[in-house]
Amino acid sequence: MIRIENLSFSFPESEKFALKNISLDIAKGEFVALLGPNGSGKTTLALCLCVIIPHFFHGNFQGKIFINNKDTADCQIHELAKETGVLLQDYESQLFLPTIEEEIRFQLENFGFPADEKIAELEQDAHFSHLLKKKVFSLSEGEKQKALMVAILSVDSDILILDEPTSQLDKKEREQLLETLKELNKQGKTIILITHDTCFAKHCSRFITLNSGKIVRDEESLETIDSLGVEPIDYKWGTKNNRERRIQNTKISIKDLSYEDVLNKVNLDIKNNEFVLICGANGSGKTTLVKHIIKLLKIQKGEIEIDGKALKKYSQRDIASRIGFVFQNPNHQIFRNSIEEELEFTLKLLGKENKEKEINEMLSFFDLEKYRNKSPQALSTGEKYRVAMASSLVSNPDIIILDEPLTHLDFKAKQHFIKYLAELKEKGKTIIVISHHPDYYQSLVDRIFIIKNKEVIEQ
Amino acid sequence: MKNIFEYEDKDGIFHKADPLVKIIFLLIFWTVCFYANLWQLAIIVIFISVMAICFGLRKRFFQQARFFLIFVFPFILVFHLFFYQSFSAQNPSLFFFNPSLSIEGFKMGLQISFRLFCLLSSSILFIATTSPLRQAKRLSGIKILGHKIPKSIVFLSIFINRSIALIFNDLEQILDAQKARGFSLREAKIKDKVAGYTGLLIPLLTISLERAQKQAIALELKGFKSK
Repeated sequence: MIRIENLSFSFPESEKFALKNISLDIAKGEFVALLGPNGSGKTTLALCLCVIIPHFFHGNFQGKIFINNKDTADCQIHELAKETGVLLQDYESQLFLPTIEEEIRFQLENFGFPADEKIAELEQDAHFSHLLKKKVFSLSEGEKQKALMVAILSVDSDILILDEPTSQLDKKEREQLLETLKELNKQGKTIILITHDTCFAKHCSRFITLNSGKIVRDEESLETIDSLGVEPIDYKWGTKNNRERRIQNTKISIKDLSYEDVLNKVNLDIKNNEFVLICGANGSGKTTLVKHIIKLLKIQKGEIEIDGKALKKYSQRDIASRIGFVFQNPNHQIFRNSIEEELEFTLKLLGKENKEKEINEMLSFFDLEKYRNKSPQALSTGEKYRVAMASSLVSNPDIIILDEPLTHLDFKAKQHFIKYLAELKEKGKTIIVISHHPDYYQSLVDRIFIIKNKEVIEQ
Repeated sequence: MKNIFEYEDKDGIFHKADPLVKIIFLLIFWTVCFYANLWQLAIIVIFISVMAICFGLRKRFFQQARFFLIFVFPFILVFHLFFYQSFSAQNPSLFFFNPSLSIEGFKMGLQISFRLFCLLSSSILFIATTSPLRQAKRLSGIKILGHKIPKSIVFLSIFINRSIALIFNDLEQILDAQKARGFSLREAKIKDKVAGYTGLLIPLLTISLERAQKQAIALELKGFKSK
């Protein structure tokens, strides 16, 4: 079904090949997991398969790709789109029209399918109908990803190429997606799944591991391959934190916070030096809650205090010097022309001296030194997330808020970052993490809060 | 701001109107605006205001009018009021400025402001009432002398319709990213605001160009030929 012959590719102005001499055969009905560390070439390979490379991203392209015996060099993206459903890692860029309904309708009509029937079917789906008419801008990241998956699956393509399809999904949605993919695979669909989530990938029938642009392993079982930067199956991320909590002063106090139709009379006290995890389904209001703490959203009802002082009495600069916030989608956070400028921007705004020393430390810690003068937009999503974290944490804030920090990172980077969070906690920082993966933080977390039905409940 | 430039699904006369008729009407309207004098433009401003209010776009219309009055109108008026002589000369030298108050300058400033206001308002009314999906379908179906409109033109037209909202969305994200790091451009002093927004032009342009490419990819992946 898919044949790749000696495929090599390098991006313009890069001497390094992103893909090196890849040869691969994928038969009809295979369920393939494409694994490997950040920057190993997984996404580049996916872009080659759906011919975005070389038609949109030019570079040094060598070799051949055949899909259903058609040489893709002779095909445009839209010509392959019907038989190849693609979810890009940057899923947000795939949304163009104002509502999800229009997205689905547009796609189906282009392929000559009856759109009304499918829309009527989706309107009956209790888990999805509420998203249909919603404006794309108002959806949470998880809802956007879920909606796109539904749009892609509605076309009934023979081949599915899914790049990190679970990166923003909650546990229930991940399980549901897995069931759907298993069912589609049984029906004979070929699925290529790119992921760092081995718990999800273990259900595949073939595991291809890439490293530095080369295939280093191609097997039918997923063994312990942590040496290749892939998370071992059912890896234990430390034991539960049973340390007795010292009674501390309240760092952040939220009283009766309400926001539109998302939050209703939320009460929450976060103590000094506490590690708090906030969980909840996609679209439950986790990001909305923390956006209030950093004054990105105006309080409509209720109060927030930091160190006993009302939030409204703090200037934005005071808040930024105390709180480091890392956005869920790194594309929402980075906008400067180089990585160095990105870090410098934070320090400059806060009037901090010795910029060079702090920037060097952060670049070295997040393994970004080699990209120092590169545009952040040219990096992979995992690398972009590291830039976003470095640019927020470079100012050494007291409170750290991280929105889904680990989903884009490979195993090594995850371990490294968990260790870093432990160090920050030791230093007395207050840490708030929003995540759908509580397991990662087991050894660090003091309290877990769940947002359900617009309210916050302590687990 | 992004909401001003986004299509709103409603059941009005403008919303139901054929997108092609609206595009033709818009082009004629723009041509009239370019040739109209001050008094004709004043009448057009009143006409377009009444239209917006009558067709349920009151909130959006006043939002953009406020934006125009604060950020665009004073700049154009002051520029023409004081430097009219420099620009009205037959062969103005590039760096020649002759600041002097004149009634002609005031009139010219008003005329250009009204013209820009009409162009902006009519574009917003068009975007607010025209679904990009309907627009794409309508334009794809047209045949001129047996030939269909090239897909690249259809792509360009729906891209223009949709991209302004997306660019404003990008801008909001950058402003939020700055705010989270301690600089609120929305709350800054006028001087810092001007410097801040000017500084944002290059990153915004870079992101917007990348977005244009990503949007073309997104449409191709949905089976739409964009090139």
